[in-house]
Amino acid sequence: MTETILTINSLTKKFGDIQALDNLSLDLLPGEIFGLLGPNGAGKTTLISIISGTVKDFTGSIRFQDKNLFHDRRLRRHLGIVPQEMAFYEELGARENLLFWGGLYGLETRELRRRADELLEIVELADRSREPIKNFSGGMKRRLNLAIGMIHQPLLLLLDEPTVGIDVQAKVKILDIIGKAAENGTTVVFTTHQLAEVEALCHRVAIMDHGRILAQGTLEELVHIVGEREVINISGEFAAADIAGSLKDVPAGDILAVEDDQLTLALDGTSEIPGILEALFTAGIMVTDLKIQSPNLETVFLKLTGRSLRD
Amino acid sequence: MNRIRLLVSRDFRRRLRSPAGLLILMVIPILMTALFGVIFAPGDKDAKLTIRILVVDLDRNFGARMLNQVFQQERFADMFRMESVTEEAGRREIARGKASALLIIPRNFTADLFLSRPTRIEVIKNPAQTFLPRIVEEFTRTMAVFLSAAQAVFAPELAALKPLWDQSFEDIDTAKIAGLFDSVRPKVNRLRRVIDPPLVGLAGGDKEREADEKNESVMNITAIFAAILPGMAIMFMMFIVETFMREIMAEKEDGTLRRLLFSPIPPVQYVTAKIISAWTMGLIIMGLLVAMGKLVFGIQWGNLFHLAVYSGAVLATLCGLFALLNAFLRNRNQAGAVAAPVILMFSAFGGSMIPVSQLPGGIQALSRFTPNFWFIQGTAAIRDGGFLLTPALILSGIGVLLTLISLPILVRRLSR
Repeated sequence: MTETILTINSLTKKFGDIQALDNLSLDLLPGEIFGLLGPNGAGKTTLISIISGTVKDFTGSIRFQDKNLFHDRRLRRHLGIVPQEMAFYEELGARENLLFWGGLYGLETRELRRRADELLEIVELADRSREPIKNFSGGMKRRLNLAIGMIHQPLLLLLDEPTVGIDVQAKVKILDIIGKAAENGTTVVFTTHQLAEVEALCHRVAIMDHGRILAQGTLEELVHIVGEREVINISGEFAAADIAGSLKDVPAGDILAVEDDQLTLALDGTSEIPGILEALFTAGIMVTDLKIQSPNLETVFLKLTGRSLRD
Repeated sequence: MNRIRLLVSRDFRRRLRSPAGLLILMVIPILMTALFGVIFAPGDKDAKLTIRILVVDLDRNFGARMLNQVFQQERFADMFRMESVTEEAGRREIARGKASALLIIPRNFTADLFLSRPTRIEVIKNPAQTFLPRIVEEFTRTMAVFLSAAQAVFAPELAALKPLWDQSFEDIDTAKIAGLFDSVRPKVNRLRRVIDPPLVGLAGGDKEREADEKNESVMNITAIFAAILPGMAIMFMMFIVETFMREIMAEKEDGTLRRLLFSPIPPVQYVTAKIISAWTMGLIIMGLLVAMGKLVFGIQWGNLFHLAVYSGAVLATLCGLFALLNAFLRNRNQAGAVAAPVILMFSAFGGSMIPVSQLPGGIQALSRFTPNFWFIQGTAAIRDGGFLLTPALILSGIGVLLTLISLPILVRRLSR
């Protein structure tokens, strides 16, 4: 049996009438990067907030290294968080911030300074370490936000949408830093709604929606949910309600998702495409575009939720 | 303890990196003290107050002239400007508000005075002015009392003088006058024993008096600054403490609190550190204000140790008060919106804006429930060489009590 670093069991949380988390269970393995993928409102941030102790009144349990995470505050020393907000003091410099936040975790002064300088090099802020952060760009702030979460070398690092609002170059840099942290043995929990980030970085992924984990596993395991089939995206001028009737007499695979002007199908082969198009034309539906793609997380999400991750 | 020290030093470093807010809160009390001090200080010694008095002399005799001269004798010449007018012109000028008062000296005023007959000087006051006509009225009343007394003492002599007054100079009987002087002299001598030397006199000569006046003027304005600055200082101390306590809400909204509480720091240590930061910063700013008060206004504060202890007690109350206030408010905007009226109300009722003695009786009673009142009273006592020990202990106690009440509420709210 593989030893887990964090075990979440039957976690349920409601905000008034809203079911934020619904009987959610999860195991995290040491050194893995675990992606929580889901649209806004899926419950990703609530999950991170519960693990970080800032949201209470839930049912279920969370155990860190087989100890109740909330019974011993000292366990917090092994956890790091990178919230969505830029959670640092803009009046202070990058190094001052790192020294302050590291100090809270009880790091010895010399070790703290060494670690701060090391992280400043990693996040490429060493040359501007004494400058007030208010002068920094968005990408620099994100990198510092990440560095603060890593200052005490946590065993478990919680990242809540760490790449929101920054350019591609800064995003690549941050993903690279996260990858290196995991190589050094840190378990990373990473929430996002960016498929590319998850595909590029995560060892395992959980797809969340409406407070539930719809599926979890490695990228390959998730893609198998759709099967070894082709995914066809058809665009045109049609109402979602007309599609089912139009395709009832032809082999059209599985309808993964259908909306007004957008249809996604999973087919066993491309040979079924002409029949589908003919049926649509016969029903008076104008098709303007057709794309064939390999199964990916987007199609898995479509298959599981019936809607696009972007919605 | 190490974590609390870390949190407090963070608060201080943040303030020092962005000191504009603190500097403003420190400089404004000094500027306002200077402004109010200049407004309420005694004016220029050379600036003369002149009261214009119009006189209608219907008597045209010795008594009226004597009355006029009293107003214009050396001591009062700078203050009163007498102008002779007709009754009609005088009333018109008063109606236009061009003079402070109109004196109408009646016909036969002198004769009535000599013959011990009742007479009446009419004073018509300018209704548009408040104080100046009253000065004229009171001065005239004093003169009337004096003339009545003189008339009572010298009635026989005055009665004897009256016929002489009506005669031409050649017809005056000098022997009769000599006889009058003989009877007046013993009365004057007896009166002199009563009124001369005066029981209460003024010490020193002209130079000494001028020096005294100058010193008195400097002391007066310093005393005014010393009375104003503590009120201003405590008001702005409230703003400083409130700003610190409001940061709890600000950090919650900015996300730094979430990260702080994720660390091994218990919420109680965080709130305690915030209270210590506010208290310490308040004391430092108070020290700077005291130093500036001494340097800029020459205020003698008295025993500085007593002042520091007393300020510490008042700041403890302020910290407890604003911790409690923030414990019940939702966000920083709400905290700011509620705190400002609270501070202004305390300041208005507590004597920071208007001396408590000038407030209506009911509000004076309320003043005792404000930290402003006790700070102003306490600093005044220290300046006079005393120390209000009981209020200092009560203020410290209130501070501790309010902190103990607010701490669990804040901790519970932050832990949610």
